[in-house]
Amino acid sequence: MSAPKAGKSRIDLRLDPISGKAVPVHKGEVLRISQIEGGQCVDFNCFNLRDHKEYMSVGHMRREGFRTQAGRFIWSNPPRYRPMMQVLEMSPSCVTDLLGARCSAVPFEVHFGIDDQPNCQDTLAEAIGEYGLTPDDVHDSLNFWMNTEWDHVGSYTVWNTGKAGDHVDLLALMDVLAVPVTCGSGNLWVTSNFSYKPIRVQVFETSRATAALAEKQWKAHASLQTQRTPKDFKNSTIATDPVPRRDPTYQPDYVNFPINWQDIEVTFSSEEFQKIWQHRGMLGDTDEEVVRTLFLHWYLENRKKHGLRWYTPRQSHA
Amino acid sequence: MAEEKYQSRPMSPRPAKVIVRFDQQQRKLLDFLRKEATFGTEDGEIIRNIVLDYLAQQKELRSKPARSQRLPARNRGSRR
Repeated sequence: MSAPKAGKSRIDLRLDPISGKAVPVHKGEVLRISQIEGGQCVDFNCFNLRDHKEYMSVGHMRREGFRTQAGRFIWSNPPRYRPMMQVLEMSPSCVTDLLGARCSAVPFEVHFGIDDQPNCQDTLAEAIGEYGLTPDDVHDSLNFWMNTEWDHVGSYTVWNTGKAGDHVDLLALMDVLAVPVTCGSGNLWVTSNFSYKPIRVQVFETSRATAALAEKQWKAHASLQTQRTPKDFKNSTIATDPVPRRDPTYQPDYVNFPINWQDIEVTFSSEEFQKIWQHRGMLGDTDEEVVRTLFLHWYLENRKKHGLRWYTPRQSHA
Repeated sequence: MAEEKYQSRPMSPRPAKVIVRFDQQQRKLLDFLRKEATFGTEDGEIIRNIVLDYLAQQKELRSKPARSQRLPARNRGSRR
């Protein structure tokens, strides 16, 4: 499927090292981030332009795979958990990272004794300051052109594969404040191959095709009852006092608390029970555990809807 | 341990009753299945038929060499 063509360019910026820019991108518009010379890591934050408490959740994106690819969504933080943008196009040599969080000044003081190293936490904070946001509003980045690998210990970064002219196109599914920055650690770490390079940021206006796709994806992925926004919150007041103060009258209202157990008697023939018994130890230590586990495995494989990419054992068998 | 398990294995040809504890959310899945009317109407009957269907599915999967030979282990997880 080819990506829909967006309208004309309304923003065209060169971001020199080590700077960034908070850019409003409206629903149906396309943000393009491009390599100018290649090999530059780009950290990315994303806020709802109408509610900065809704922002990209890298942790929830990670649940769909460690590499964000074309077709995937930028999801916001629960309980909102809505699609903010969709990756329309991505150059093959753009490797993405969802493990590296964002670099900060602290490791450079620890490892190098340098206390003024440019870093993505501070660059992102400076960029969003234009909109009244603070360093505390910076969140973990979706990192474009950051070639992270992982093993049983954790993640580590290897040589940047970005090429001049590479680009990523992101379609806004809601009005967002998109914040691309050139990564500040790539001169001392391999992240950007030990040198800084500029990047290009463009915003293309909505076209009929991009508006239609944005609306289609929004309707398909943002209409669940459980995607709650502040109007659904018990307390929707944003605290301005930094000290948490206990409310002695507060009563938590946990979902479905307390748990209501029910014992169900299940009868198997001797032959059937022999088959169940064979799974003892692997699917449970007791007959009850084995039966419940078999039941739920069946349900997950046969009735679970596949809107999000979790638990796909049928695919793993194929 | 192996001997103990062997001795606890059901040897006599008689039906076995298993008491399974379900919470209210798990029982919602039973309600969905009850509405389908494919696997029965009583909770115990639905669970029994589902478990047997799953074992049959796994047997079929194992019989196809190109597919994975493994049964899902308890710790394989459901990515909560």
